[in-house]
Amino acid sequence: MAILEINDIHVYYGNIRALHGISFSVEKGQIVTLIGANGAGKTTTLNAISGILAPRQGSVRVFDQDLARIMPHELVPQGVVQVPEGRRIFSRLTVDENLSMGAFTRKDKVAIAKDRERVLEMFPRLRERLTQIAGTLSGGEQQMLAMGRAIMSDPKILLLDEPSMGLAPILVDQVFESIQDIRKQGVTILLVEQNAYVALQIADYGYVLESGQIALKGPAKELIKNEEIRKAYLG
Amino acid sequence: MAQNTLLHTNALVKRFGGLVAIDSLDLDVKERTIHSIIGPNGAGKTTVFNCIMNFFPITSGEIRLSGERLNDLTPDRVATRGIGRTYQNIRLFRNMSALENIMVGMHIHLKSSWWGAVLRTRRTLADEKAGQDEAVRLLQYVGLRGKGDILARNLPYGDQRRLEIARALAMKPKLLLLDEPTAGMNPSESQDMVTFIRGLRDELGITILLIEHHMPVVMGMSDIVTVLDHGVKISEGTPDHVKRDKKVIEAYLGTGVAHT
Amino acid sequence: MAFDVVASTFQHKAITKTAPRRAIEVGLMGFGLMIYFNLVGLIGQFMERFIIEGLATLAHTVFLGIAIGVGGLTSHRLLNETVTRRYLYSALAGLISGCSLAVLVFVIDHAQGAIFGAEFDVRFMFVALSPKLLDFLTFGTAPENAVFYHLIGGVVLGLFGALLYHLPNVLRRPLIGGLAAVWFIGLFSELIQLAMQFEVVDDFRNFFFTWEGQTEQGAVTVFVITFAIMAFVTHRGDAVMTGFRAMPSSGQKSARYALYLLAVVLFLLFPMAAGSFFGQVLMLVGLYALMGMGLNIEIGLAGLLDMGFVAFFATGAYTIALFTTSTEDVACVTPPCDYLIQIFDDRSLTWWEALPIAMIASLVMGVLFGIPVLKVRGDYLAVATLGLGEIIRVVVVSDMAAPMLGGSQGILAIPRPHLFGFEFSDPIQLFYLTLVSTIVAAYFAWALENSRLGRAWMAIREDEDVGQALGVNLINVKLLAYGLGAVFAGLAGAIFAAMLASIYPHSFQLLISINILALIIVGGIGSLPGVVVGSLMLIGTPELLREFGEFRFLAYGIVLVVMMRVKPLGLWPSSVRKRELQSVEEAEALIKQRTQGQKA
Ligand SMILES: Nc1ncnc2c1ncn2[C@@H]1O[C@H](COP(=O)(O)OP(=O)(O)OP(=O)(O)O)[C@@H](O)[C@H]1O
Ligand SMILES: Nc1ncnc2c1ncn2[C@@H]1O[C@H](COP(=O)(O)OP(=O)(O)OP(=O)(O)O)[C@@H](O)[C@H]1O
Ligand SMILES: [Mg+2]
Ligand SMILES: [Mg+2]
Repeated sequence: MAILEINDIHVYYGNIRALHGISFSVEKGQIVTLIGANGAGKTTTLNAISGILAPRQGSVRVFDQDLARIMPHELVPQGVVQVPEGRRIFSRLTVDENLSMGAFTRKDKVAIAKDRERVLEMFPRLRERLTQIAGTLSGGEQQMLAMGRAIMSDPKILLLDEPSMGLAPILVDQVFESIQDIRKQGVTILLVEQNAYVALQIADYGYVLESGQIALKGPAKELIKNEEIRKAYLG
Repeated sequence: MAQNTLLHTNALVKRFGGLVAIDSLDLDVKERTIHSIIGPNGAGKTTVFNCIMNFFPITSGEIRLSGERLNDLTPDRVATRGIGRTYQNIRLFRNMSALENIMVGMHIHLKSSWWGAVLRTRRTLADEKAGQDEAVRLLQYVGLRGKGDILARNLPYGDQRRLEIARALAMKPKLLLLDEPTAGMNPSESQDMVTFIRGLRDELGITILLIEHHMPVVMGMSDIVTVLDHGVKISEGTPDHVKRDKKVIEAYLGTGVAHT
Repeated sequence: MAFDVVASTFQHKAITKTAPRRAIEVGLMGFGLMIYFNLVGLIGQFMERFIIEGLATLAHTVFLGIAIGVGGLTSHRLLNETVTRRYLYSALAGLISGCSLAVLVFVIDHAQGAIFGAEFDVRFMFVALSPKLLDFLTFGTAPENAVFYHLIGGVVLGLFGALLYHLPNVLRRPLIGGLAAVWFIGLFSELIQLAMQFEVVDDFRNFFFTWEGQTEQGAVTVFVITFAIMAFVTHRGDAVMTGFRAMPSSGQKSARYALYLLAVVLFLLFPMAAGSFFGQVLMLVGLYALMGMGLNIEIGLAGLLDMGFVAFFATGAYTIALFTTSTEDVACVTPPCDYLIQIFDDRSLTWWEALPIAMIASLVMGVLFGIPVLKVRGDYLAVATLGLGEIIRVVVVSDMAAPMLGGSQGILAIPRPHLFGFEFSDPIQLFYLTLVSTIVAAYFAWALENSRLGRAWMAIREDEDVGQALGVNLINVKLLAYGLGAVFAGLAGAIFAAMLASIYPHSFQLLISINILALIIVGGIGSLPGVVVGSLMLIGTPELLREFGEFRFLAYGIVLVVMMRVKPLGLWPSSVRKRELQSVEEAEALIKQRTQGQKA
């Protein structure tokens, strides 16, 4: 049964419609990727799923509950966690405090410590900088922190909005490997990426958004071979 | 190519507490070139830009623009010497229109005084008018024609990047510092940006110092590439030279798919 | 796209609540309000005050208003329900709010007694729960009956609210409008009568009012007239507008200008007709608007929070006082200052001569004020400026400055301004002086806002570092913001000194700074018309409600809170703020229209 179900959602900013009728569903343990040009509506879709934006029409169902009836903050303990676009870290807190904030709703101290260790292993740079004020980190380091904080929340569904933005190539490879590791632990991942080629390589299924609608969909293996997509997004 | 040096840093050091962000860096940026700085995250690239603008005092060393020492100038003075920049995490004046953003970029070139504005002197009005025409031209130049009245925050991401460049161009800089101009763009959009930046050098004669993580962009248009790691220059040369440097591959490029 | 989704004002997620929960919430809101008004003693005062003489007091209308409002609001919030269910829920909400009065009757009735042998007295805590209030709440019947009436009343009024909500526009608007008109005229009957003290209108006045309140016949007349006008406008308004649009555009323009002109003329004549009380109120409103425009430069444009703004107001007032009075009025004995005063005092200046000096003095004060806080940012700035503002007041009352500035005795006998042999002495004349100053100041503020300097201010408000990297000299620009902002306040201070003809340090309290800050926020930060609207709301309204004593500040507080809830951008947001809400598509459509217009 689908763990996440999006049913014909329409989302508006003021009077402009950013999404006109998006529907798809995600099975447990899948990696699903959304690709599309600037302004296609990828971020808007993620924000509708994490409850930051409310669709004017249509519904989002997470773990078989209607999102319209839960507050955004109630979603995190249930395991819906977003790594927002442009790394919204708490810039006045230290790196360590940021990581702890990720585990804000969790109780199990032992498990938290284990996850913290996992994050610091994944990004050794963060371990070096535990006491640095997060706002003074370099762009890429902030991206690592945003990702680390999300992992600290023990996600069941992870929404990643351009996780490779601002990362050095060597780290991009590493982050995509980590994403696959995370999936192996049973986490469902919704991935938005500009680097469509890499995203399609690790995804099970892909959707191409164009001006707020789904223009194309299919198993990632097929999309990657699609001529149109190669031309438009793979450069 | 026997070009003149435009920007020169001499044994530049920047420490944050115990952390050495830039370690004795000598950088030599030639006129009318596209000079890229690459390196792992936290290597000190953005810090180099901040030092040039003098956003914070440097620890030691010297920075010179066409021979003039910049060390002791405040950022607004540095700007008047002809250096414009963009920011890694877009810093537009979000609640001002696109046109107003560019007009602020012209601040140092507009001459009107506040009493002139109150008394509506002919000079002020002419100055404003000329400024606005110029701003409209710039908007068109970066491909934002007709979007002058839109608030910066409501522009799509790619347009925001372009607007930030237009604002820097309004200063008529000799040297333009671009911090990851193609971040968050897909490959074909990045390609457009490459064409655009080349145009800045070839048509406007602006020297460009560029920070980027997208290798096709860097390798496709740089005249020279400097590689930093932990604040130290580990390699420098033409794109082809740098691409094959073992140290660079190990520290930065890796062997995966991402650098294709 | 890099958009500030979290901070954006668009669509914050609202939880879908069940209908009964909503109705109960609204009902409890009414319940709380009623109890609160009773406990603080507001009702005790309101029940002395007739809206319609002998028929309805202000207290009655407050109860009615709340219960009807609750009914209407419930219907409004339950748009997804069927009409019948909406009525039911409105009745439920009305019932809940009616319960409040029932509870009160019960409590006061059993106010004194004993529980488990211990004596208690509710009035010990709640002084307002007096036997008089009980009388009022029981309409003189037995308390048991009154409890019952209140419950029934709640239901009926809740239903009436729902009915109002569901009536077609043609009926609803005139009904609400008529009731509101009666209420407002009743509330301000005293002031209106004050403004009608001419013999010719005596009969007219007595038809509508007695000194107790509005007469019944007056109320009925007001209601009928308003109802008729509003009904006509609602019914035929569209037709009139279409007629207007059908006129040639030049005709439209002249019609519009004629309307504006009429409004301006009426506004100019109003204080003259209405008498010196209104003149005084309007003049205060004008003074605060003037200062608001100054503070708006600092906060609205340059983003420099300033809690010590009153200092510049004081500078203007004291400079005028010093230069226009003669030595005898200032008790000055100590050597350095008697010397100083001799220099000034060879010839005291007139108000007009001293005015430029006062403005320059405030400019200098503004710049001096700005220097120590140049490097202070954000919230810290509020605290730092707060301190600076207080320092100035403390200096004035100190022994050191007392000989020159008069200490806490102040400076007396400040002459009034003269112009071509005409003396500005009564509040109405001074109001016109203030009005002219405000208009000039508004022009200044507008011109500055749209200049190179104005853009630099906005830039450093948005991001100081980036502005600096674009060549904006932070020191110059910030000091100019403080200095020019201060000039406006100095001008206001100069007029203020002329109005009172004497000034005291205690006229320059922190409260003034806070008031100005509040009024520019309520009006809409960065908006010039907003300053005027905010000043009318926050300065004018409490003045008009003076008869309610300290309770009028309750109105002030409520206005602040409600405003920030329902119109967070202010009553008249600046065009920039409005643009923030405008969609890209609309903006694009606008541009298209404009370019086409140019071609044509
Ligand atoms: N805060 C906002 N105000 C107004 N319009 C907005 C806002 N955020 C997004 N939009 C509009 O909604 C549309 C979709 O935006 P969205 O951010 O979802 O795109 P995206 O696919 O994530 O793009 P990118 O690749 O640039 O991140 C765009 O056309 C944009 O103009
Ligand atoms: N104010 C500061 N205080 C302490 N450390 C700082 C400060 N500013 C930067 N740093 C550290 O200095 C190092 C260099 O940062 P810089 O921003 O120059 O990196 P970068 O090369 O631009 O990296 P990226 O590619 O991730 O943007 C980083 O490790 C960063 O954490
Ligand atoms: Mg996005
Ligand atoms: Mg950087």
